[in-house]
Amino acid sequence: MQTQLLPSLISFIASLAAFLFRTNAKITKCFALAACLLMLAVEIYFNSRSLLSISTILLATLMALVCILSQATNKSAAISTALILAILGLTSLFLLDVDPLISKLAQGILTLSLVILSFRFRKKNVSLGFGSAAALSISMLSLLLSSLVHGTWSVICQITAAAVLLPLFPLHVGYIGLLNNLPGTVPAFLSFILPIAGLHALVQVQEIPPLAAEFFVVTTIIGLFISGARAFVQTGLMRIIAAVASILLAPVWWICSANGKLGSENCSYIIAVGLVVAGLSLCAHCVESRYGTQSLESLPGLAKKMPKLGIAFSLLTMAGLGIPTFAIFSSFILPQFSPLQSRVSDLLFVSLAWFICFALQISVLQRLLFNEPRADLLYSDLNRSEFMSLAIILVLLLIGGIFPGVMLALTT
Amino acid sequence: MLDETNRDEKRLTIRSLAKLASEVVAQYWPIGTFVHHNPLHELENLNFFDAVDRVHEILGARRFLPKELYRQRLENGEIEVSTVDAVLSETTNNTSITVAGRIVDKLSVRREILIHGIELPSKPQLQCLWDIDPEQELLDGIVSSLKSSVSTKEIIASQIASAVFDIGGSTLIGWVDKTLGTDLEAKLNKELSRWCATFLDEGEAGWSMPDRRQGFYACWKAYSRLVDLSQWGPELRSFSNSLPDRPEDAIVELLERLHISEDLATDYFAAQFSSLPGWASFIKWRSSQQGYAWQLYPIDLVQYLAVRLAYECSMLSQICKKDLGIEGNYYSIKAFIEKNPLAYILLKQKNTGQLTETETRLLDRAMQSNRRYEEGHLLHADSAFLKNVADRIGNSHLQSLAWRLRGLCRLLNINIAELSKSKADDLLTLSDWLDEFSDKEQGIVWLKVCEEEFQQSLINELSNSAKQHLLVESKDGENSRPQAQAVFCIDVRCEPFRRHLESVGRYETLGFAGFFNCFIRYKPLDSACEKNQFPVVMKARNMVREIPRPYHQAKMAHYQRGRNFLKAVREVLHSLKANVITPYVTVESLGWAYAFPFVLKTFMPTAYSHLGSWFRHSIQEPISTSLTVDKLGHREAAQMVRDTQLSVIREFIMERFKQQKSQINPESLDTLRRLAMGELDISDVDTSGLPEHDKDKLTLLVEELRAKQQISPRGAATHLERLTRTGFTLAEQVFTIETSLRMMGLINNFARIVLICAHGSKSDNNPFESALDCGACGGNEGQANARVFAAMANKLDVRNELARKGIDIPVDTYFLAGQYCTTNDTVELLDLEDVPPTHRMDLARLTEDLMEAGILSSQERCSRLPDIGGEIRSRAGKETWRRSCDWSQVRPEWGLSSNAAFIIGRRGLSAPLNLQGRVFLNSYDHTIDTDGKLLENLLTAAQTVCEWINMEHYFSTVDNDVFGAGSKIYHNVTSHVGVMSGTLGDLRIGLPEQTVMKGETNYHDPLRLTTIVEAPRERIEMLISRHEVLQRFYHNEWVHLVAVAPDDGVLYKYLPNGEWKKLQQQSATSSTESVGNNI
Repeated sequence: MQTQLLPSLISFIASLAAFLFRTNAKITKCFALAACLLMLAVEIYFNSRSLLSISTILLATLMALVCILSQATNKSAAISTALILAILGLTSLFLLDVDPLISKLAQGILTLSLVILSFRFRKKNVSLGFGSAAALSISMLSLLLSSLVHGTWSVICQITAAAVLLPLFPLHVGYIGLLNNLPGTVPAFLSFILPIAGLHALVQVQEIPPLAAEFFVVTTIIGLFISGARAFVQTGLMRIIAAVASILLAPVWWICSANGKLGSENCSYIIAVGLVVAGLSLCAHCVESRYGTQSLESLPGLAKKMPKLGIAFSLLTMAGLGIPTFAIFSSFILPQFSPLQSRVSDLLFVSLAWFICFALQISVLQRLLFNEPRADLLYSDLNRSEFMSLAIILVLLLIGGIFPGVMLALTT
Repeated sequence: MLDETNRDEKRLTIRSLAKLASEVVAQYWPIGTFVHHNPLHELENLNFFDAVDRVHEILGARRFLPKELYRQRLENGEIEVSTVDAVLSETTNNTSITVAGRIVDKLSVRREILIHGIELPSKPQLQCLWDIDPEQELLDGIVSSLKSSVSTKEIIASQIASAVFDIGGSTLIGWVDKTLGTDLEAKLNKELSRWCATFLDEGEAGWSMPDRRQGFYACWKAYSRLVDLSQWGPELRSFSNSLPDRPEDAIVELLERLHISEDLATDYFAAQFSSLPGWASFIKWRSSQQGYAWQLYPIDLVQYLAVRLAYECSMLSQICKKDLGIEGNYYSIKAFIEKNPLAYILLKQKNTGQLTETETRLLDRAMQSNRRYEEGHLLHADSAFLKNVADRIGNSHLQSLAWRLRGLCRLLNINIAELSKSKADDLLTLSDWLDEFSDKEQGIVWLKVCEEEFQQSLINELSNSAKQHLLVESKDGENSRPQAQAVFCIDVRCEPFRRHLESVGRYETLGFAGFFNCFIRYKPLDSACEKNQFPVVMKARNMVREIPRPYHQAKMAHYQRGRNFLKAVREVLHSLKANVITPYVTVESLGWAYAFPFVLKTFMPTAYSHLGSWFRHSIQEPISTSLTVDKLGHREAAQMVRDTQLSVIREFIMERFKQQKSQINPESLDTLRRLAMGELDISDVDTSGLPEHDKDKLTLLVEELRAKQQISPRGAATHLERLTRTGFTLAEQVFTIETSLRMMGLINNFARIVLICAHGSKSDNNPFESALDCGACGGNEGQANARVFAAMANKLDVRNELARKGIDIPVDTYFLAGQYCTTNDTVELLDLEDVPPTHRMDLARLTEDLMEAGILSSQERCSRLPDIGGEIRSRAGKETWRRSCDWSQVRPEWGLSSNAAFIIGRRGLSAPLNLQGRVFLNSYDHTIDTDGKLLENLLTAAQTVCEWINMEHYFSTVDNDVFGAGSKIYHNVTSHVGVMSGTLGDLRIGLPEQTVMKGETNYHDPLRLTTIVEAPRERIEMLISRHEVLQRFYHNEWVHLVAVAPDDGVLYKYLPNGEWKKLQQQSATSSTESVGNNI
């Protein structure tokens, strides 16, 4: 058990150190990266049974490494680094499932932390901050109640908790608020971690009650249209990415309602979506850290002035659209459109979700990358660490696309 | 409503105002006769820098190259820092202040800003960078220092004061776009482009607009009723029905609706023209061409304005009421700005990306909640937001100042910590210095630096060669007879060829305007239309036709059959492609056949070109021709008309009555002719010998001859008039030759062969082909002019007259016509049948030497082409040939790019120099021009042409998007008059990107023309005082002028204040060396 808890311990210590040494950003970053590498090594050495049985925690640690790598070296980035490590530690604890109590406690502390963070970092969008805090509070209370009550009520509480983390309308505001308001690359990390946390909460539900299933059908459809409509009028890049994420994850709830539970193939899809959204969020962070929080229309021509970003963003968009060779295609699009497996209603819903995502993502791509660059912006392309982070994510997506079994193994 | 009594006066006023406003756009000739022109030609009454400023305000065009390109040249060593200092010291007074314990002078500040620059990001980016800057505390310290002297209120007040609507800077609909972030002007421009392209079509469209004779405005009124106009606002439908029939009256009404008074109308019209400058330029040109065939469908800028204002009025009314709650007119907009300055500033900042995403969202929410852009509502919506916005604007301004000061300190190696402790007044002074040295001022300095570098290098070389030239003259006395003389156009592309030709033999080359003083309307053998082979600003009466030589007359029939066959095939193929249904079938049945030429001309263009020529010649065998240089007398012309009529009647009879030529009685032909001409009455004629015996049928036959064969008094008169215009009288010929020879200084020491070498170009799939041909010949090849000149100069009568006037051309001198192809460096010699046998050896030698010079020129040319680079000795000729045949080649040659100077003087002055194809060369001998008339001609005419070419290249380089034609990749030929980028949009005037740019950097160095004249200064001054055009050029700094004193070879520069400045040679260089990188 001690060896299983070792990664979390490393993570907490590193987080504390990052916070204490936040005035020296370079040292903090190096220390954090070293901690992540150590965690990876421990994870592989102690907890994997074979080369193939790499776990979701490994992926989470890898994502933390990627997000920290992508951070700038300044004082505010050091705080983000500390947060990422702390969240990673808590996530490792509950994903490990070492002890049900520890797991529940870790989940609860994670959710509480997110509530506090939502409230603390609400300045960027106050209403969204409050909404996010409220939704996460509901998630936290639901988790608590699910431990106290039994039977159907416990299941409903569990599902409610999951619905905040694996965003489902109307509780998706928690997810969107966190992605929009938190500093540094924390949103990128959370965009991967939150769905996994929600996935973890949902797989514990043996069977979804029929009434809940019908409720999902209604909420996913409404959520699809409302999220889509809101996203089309947004001007902020991160808002749109968050909306795309919630639309991409909507089919999961639809399938859940149809099948009565969450299947393993849906798990690999959630991870793939998490990777894509994390990549897009990192791109958004690269843009914001250079140019401030401007509307999309104020940032044209990035393909010409930031070609590396242009390539990475385009590839991630293609991955998000489910283009072959990338993980989303193999994990979801292909199985969904298999004539033996899918129902007409499933096909219709997935197609609708896909079209809305397509329109959103292509619109963002066009507005951000093309048109004439502005003369009054000082452009600078991705540096090595940022490019490496995005490259790692793209490689993971490619592996997931070419070897879908790898993704599947993660979630068994 | 207009008062009846002053209606005409109003109309005249509108026309005058439109004409005045059209100064901002220069005329644009159709692309088939591309003319290099100065896009700011009508602003030459202003100083150059003021003119580019004005255009910058109206069109948003760049005035100079981006600073980064100049800095790169400095890094590469092409510009010396000493030159920068020299130019800066002329423009900067010697001021200094003490900052952070150091004395800082203005010159150093300007030098550092110029060379290194201080980058200032936009406000949201600045805030982001500020927050993470390691020197944030120091920067905050500077801001605190500044705050003590500058209050936020003052900053806001100054911003509010600058929030005015400048009617000359933008149209009202343009203002709406900038304020509300809409795209209405682009939409309007597209619609107008559609109307213009359709109306101005010159034969490209398969279905052309009907009833174009009514005029543009009337057509629009008539046909706009048939389309859906709802997207343009509810009023446009009523406008198209109710606006007056006269466009001037419509404009008066629309201006009243827009509340634009007469004193503002000129600026407003200028803004309208500037919105779609390409079409406006073309319309301006076309409306000035009364004799132009297509102006049968009349259009002018007033009609264009009327249509444009109608759309604008309607759209403005709709958008202003909906989004601003005001009427759509000038006064309402002005009042809105005055009443809501802060809201206006915020809206502008939002649309220029100066607001953060959060601020944008808050602003949008505040505006949309009440749909009123009024500050009272803003306050109600979010009082915190508006309360903070003033502070934020003020703080941003101070942060910008601090950022720039920090940047300056880094450049001057001043400790920033010390700076933050400096007095606020000193900081503000530094900041003022930064503000004074704006982008515009920096651009002026860079331009002057580059010009100074170029001029100094050229002056150094010219000084040496001028002194050497004087030495040679004083030693040699009478020059020995050259092997041959060759007269080329003054085009910069001829300079390398001339240099290489002189290097391969004892050749003397001269430069003269490419039309060789022959103002001719030329009708080639194959064409039904006449070409204007003279500068476009001139007019000509003399016509010259190309006719088959007598011994090839018999082949004409075969030739014409071949020509008609090829023409028919082309027309059939074109119809198959252009029809609605047939393309579907054509592609299926003939598509495969197109694969062969497609592949061949893509991968083997030279072979394809030869194959094409062979095929054409096998069907349409070429025949030898001559030109009708001599004018026919009246009797001869009348006889020719009669003979032609008889010939036509004979052909007609043979075809109609299926008779052989031998069966036709010549007297019957004459009888029919006289009947058709009205010289005989049918009742008096004996019909027995005629094809028709019946008098009624004979009457019909005669009518048919009159109607279809033009055998009538009117037809005969037209034919006679054309014939009498054909050719030149002896006096005209003598005048032409004498003037030309005197102007180029060739009045003695004639060689055995004098080659009159015009120039043309060769390229494929190139709408800008005409731009590569001879501009002096109206954008055509100049061979017709060369042939005419040579023919005149070889005539004995002409030479006898010339001898009486003092120009004695030896009997053994033969004038030979030729044409130099600037794309592949070959010279085609013309009319070789006429060369006397005594000159065979000279001709053979000349032909060989021309080929050798061509190869050397190709090698030099290839070294400058970016996709070749380096030197390729043996393949150069083949490479240039290939480029000229390659349909995918967007840059067959550089054309006139890199032009920079114009030398008017004897060849001895420039012969030793390698001018790298950058200089126009016009031969001129001041010793024979005692009264200055020849120089006057050169300075007022030839120099104007050079200045137009120079300015066209300048502006196309500094801002290819506005003044140039953009990339050729996206071009679509439209209406047969020009090109557009994409499927719809403005007509692209100016030069394409590939002509002036080399990737992201410029190939053409945008410098103002430097004219160097070898003549006494007094003579030049006299001419300047006499001609306004010269005063504009030199006093308004459009052209630099340098005089080479003939007696001592010293160079003097003419300053804008009318004084002369003696130029010093900077370093002694060998006169035989090439001029170096700066030329």
